Amino acid sequence: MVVRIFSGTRVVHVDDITVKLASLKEQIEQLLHHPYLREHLPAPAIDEDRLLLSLSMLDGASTAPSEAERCIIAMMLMQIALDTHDEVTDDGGDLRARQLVVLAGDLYSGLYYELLARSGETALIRSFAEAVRDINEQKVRLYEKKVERIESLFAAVGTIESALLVKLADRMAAPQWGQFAYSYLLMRRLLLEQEAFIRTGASVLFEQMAQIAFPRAKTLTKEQKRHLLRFCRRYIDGCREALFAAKLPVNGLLQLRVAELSGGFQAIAKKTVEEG
Amino acid sequence: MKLKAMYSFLSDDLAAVEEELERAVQSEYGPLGEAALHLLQAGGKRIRPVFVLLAARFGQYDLERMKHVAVALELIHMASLVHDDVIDDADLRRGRPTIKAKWSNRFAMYTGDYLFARSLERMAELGNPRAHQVLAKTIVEVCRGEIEQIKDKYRFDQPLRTYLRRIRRKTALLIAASCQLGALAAGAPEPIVKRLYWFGHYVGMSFQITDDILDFTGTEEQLGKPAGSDLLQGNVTLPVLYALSDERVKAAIAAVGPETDVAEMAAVISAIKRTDAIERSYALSDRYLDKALHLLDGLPMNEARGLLRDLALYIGKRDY
Repeated sequence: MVVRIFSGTRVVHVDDITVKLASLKEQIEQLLHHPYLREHLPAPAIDEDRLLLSLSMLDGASTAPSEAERCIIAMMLMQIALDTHDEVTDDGGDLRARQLVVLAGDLYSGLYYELLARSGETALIRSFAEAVRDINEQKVRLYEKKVERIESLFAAVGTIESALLVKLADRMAAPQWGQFAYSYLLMRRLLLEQEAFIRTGASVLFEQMAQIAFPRAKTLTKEQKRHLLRFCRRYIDGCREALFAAKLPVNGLLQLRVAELSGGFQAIAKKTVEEG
Repeated sequence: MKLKAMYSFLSDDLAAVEEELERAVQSEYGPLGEAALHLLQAGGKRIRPVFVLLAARFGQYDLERMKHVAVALELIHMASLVHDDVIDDADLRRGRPTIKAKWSNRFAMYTGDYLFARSLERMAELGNPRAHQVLAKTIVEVCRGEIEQIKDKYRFDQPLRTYLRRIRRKTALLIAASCQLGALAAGAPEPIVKRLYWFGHYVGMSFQITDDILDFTGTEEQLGKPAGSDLLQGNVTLPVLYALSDERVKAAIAAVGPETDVAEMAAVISAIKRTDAIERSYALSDRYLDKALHLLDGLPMNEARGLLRDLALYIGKRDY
């Protein structure tokens, strides 16, 4: 099956990956469905980029499709569980909503475990557990604002964003895709943080960069802000170069997403220059 | 008799499990390990590891293998406690500040997820796919039970079976799984694995009912939290359900809501205690205990069987 995707003036031919993507998404939605949770909480977001990266790893992989799909779904469930727990704050708000967010995350992580346990994927259970451990260690480092170097800060973000996908790539015997996923997801996160910083001045990442680079500054000067943006942009460039340099059979849809992200980068970079 | 004195013949093995637990919660990043250790050092009865070790005595007992199961189950339990404190907005556990109180809700979420991961890593050491299946199914059911608990809050018209299903999921399943997994990991014969599962299930039911009774009869010092906390949070427990059948207190109980203050709660607690709800609750707890004890009769005679019996009796009759 060939699907044509129109993006501006560009036409990209995409094979049946979009169909697989939709099918996986539907299966995940079904697994996540809980009538009471749905009644009180918004449906959890399913990150299509992560799904697309996972599916891309399958091209040329020797893993049976049904087996691979199970691994992808399990990885997504765990990612959604972690993302759900990120929504828990100390801001007060509706108590029942907070309680259900905690339990929803717990349920999703239980479902991930159940899916892999049922299919006898014991090695992957261990592997994903290691990733979850690393992710939470890095989240605490970030949350506690204890990172001492900007390079370590970005590495922590990279781990948080991609650790599960890196393990999935190992399972699919395609570790090079793990590196690709790392660069892609780190770039995406940096772009989002950069955009938030430019638009609103509020970005967790930039706050911490500022604390590391200018520990005494109460409010940042224009030059200090520019310095941080330059630093971030250098990392984004690095990620982009790594993506373009990867010798991987990147499918059409993923090519399109990479191009979109890079376009996003260019647009933001332009805006930054304009705003001085 | 104190619980720890009761299982003194397991003390060396339990000490080994304790050491393993400390190792398991260590983190490359200090504060996370510190938080987990804070929870670990608050103590606890370590009932799940004890059941694992005792159940394993009905198969090929190998402490090195059993440690993985015992540690995995205790870590899952700890992870659920950390998240429960966020759910309940609890500042104290066993008389010590909770992780969410000492650090924050977000930090508690990360700690719980970290402990969950550590638990699965430990379980993976066992290399037994069926053990994973048992634990996974248990975790999912426990979560569904906790969601049910939220759904049923302040629902004073709920039937008894709703309460029983809830405590089965909330408490009994993990104790049942501890017994089942101990026996399973030790390669005990299937009928014994099943018998131990049901033994754990009934003990767990009795344990939770006793816990729910103690919420009314215990002191703040014994409980590590104010008496009546469950009801104040809207958890409709067995003594409440029984007391609701007494027309004299029904209206006072049904009026309890999130806005009820401490003085009003004290009056409701006293009113519940004046009914036969506590006695009736103990009677149901005893029925579960009897079922558990009856199952023990079919197990091979050994030291572990005697201790399982003592433990079951202790759990049903404990006063703190």
